[in-house]
Amino acid sequence: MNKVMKNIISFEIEVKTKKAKEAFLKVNFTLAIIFFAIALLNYKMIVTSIYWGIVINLLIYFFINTSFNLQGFSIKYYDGIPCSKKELLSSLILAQLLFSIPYLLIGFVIIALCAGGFFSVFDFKVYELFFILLSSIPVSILFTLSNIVNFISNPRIQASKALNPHTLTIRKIMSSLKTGILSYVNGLMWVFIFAVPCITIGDYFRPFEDVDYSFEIVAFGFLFIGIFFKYKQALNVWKDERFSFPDNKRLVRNLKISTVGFVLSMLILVVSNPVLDKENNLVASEKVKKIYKDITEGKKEVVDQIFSDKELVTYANKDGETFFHYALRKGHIDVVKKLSSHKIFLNERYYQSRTPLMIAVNSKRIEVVKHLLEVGSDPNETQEGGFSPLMLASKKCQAGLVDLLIEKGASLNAQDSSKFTASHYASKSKCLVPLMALHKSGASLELKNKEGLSSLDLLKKKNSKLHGEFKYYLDNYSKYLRNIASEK
Amino acid sequence: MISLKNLSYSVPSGKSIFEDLSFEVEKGEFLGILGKNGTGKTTLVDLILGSKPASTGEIKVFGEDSFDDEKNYRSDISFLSQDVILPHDISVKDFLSYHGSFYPNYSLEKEKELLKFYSINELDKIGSLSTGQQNKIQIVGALSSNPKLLIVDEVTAVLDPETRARFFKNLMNLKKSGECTILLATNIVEDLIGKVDRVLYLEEKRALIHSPEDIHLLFETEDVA
Repeated sequence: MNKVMKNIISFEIEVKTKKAKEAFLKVNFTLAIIFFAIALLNYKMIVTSIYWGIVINLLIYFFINTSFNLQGFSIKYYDGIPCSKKELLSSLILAQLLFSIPYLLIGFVIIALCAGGFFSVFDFKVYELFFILLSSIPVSILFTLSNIVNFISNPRIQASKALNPHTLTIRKIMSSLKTGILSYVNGLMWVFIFAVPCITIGDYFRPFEDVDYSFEIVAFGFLFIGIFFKYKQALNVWKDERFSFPDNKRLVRNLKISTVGFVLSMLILVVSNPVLDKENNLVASEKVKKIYKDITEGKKEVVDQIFSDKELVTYANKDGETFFHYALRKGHIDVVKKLSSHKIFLNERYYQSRTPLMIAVNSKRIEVVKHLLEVGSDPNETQEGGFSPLMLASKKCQAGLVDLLIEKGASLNAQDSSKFTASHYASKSKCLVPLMALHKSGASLELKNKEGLSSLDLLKKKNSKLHGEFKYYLDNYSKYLRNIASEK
Repeated sequence: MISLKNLSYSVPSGKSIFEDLSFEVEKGEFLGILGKNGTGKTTLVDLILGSKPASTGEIKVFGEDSFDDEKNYRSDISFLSQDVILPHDISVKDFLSYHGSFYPNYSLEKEKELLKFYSINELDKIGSLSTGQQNKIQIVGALSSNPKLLIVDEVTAVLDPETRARFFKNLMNLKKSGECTILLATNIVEDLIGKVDRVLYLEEKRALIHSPEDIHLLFETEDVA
């Protein structure tokens, strides 16, 4: 490597590192405030979305701030300095590789260390550090390639296509890669930075997991995130201002605040890191991880393994979820059957205020629900607030489960603390089939909730067209009943 | 020094910019390149620099093909352009030290002298300076590298009258030395009169050589009300 190449590489890396550091500071300053809120709320799902937010933010800022054409010198500068195209291209690619691979590896190590936080949004799953690290290598290379395309489309480099036709083919491949990656990263950004926090914020304010949160709360979530983004935009303006007026005291003070924000956010990140929590699934022993894996895969033999070890029989994660609860969520009937044959598990009545029957209904596994009812689960046992399995099935639009629960004696007109009946929940979810099933079985559609609305009123409020259809059904059903009566 | 023979150039979309262009520039000559917007001043500069390949014809600089990636005269050229953007978050000193490291003949003494001449504080961050001031930094870097060929592409437009006068004083000194050939692409007629040896006027894919005194005849400014 000659002197010219060394010059370019060392300078590029220096400037890129500076830019990346700045982007990192900026992102973390904003997130520090949110981290405070999270620390106070201690709510797992928000933490998850923020973890994703950090990583996606880092990737986006990394990409934006280190793209060749947006970074440091314009390519026109390199047209003027004494170096060949080969030297220039090789130096800039090498600089990009030397910079991006360690940077992205660090990012993925952070993901790996916080895997519990990151992946809890996808439900529990065992993620191996090795595979996460391994996956980071192609991602780093893809990012590097997508940056390289900026060079090749530059007029100076473009000229080389006249000499070497392969360059054009490479350019086309890289352009498509770049477009694909950008769309993918963009999509991820919107899902994880925007949608997930909105949903989780709404989720946090819900009194119960199975009760719909209101439009107002979701709107609040969107407003909150909107302000967050506006704030970030303001920070961008501030950054530009700082460059223009480096001696402005107020701006220098803001820079200090930014540094404090960075330190605080890092501290909170460490404190809230699930890895440090000894009860977390991901730091569970290898044998516990294996049990989770086997249950997920539906292996029956797992039950024998559990009962061969006392520690496993009594095992519950930090949220109080036992292997039985986990198996109910996963819904493998053979595993559930074998586990429920041991009464010790059936006696584990509650997990997050739910009965095992509620967990099974929530996972929409009819055969699991049927089995639990057969082995003695009470269809009328409610969770806190009087929310019953029939209400949950109606809310989830599970007509089969509604029929099954009614058949097993579920109370049709039971009301929860908001005076909602199962019919109210079916109306609220705009589910006509379960509503018809409830009506045919004799559920009252006249009972009123706390707001004084009957289930029919609620349906009308939610969707007047569906309400019209249901009224048509009611009229015809009455005629049908009258016909049967007259025939008799 | 510079020789263009039967040069034609078309942009990738197919539009022809030059057709059958031929001219020569002698060592130590100061050549002005003039033309209306869009006639190809910057394209011609790019072709001479070797940033773009000619469609047909040849361009020789110091006797070598300008588009040859292995050409030996690179460190003898300095290039000033309005399109050059410098990194905002480094200091003037850092930039000049990086820039100078590419040129074996770079003179730190000259750099110091020019910084003083243009009243630039080397500790200033580039981002805190105006476009004109940033161009002054480019000028300092280019002149300190003791070039044998200086190519200037429309940087004078954003310089204040005093700085422009200083810049032309530098250019005239270079011309006097006879060691440096200068190409100056500009839209400003006053930049050329009494300074350049010849003017290359670009018009409708062709180039015509004029004497600086004839420049006023090339533009019909009187009729524009």
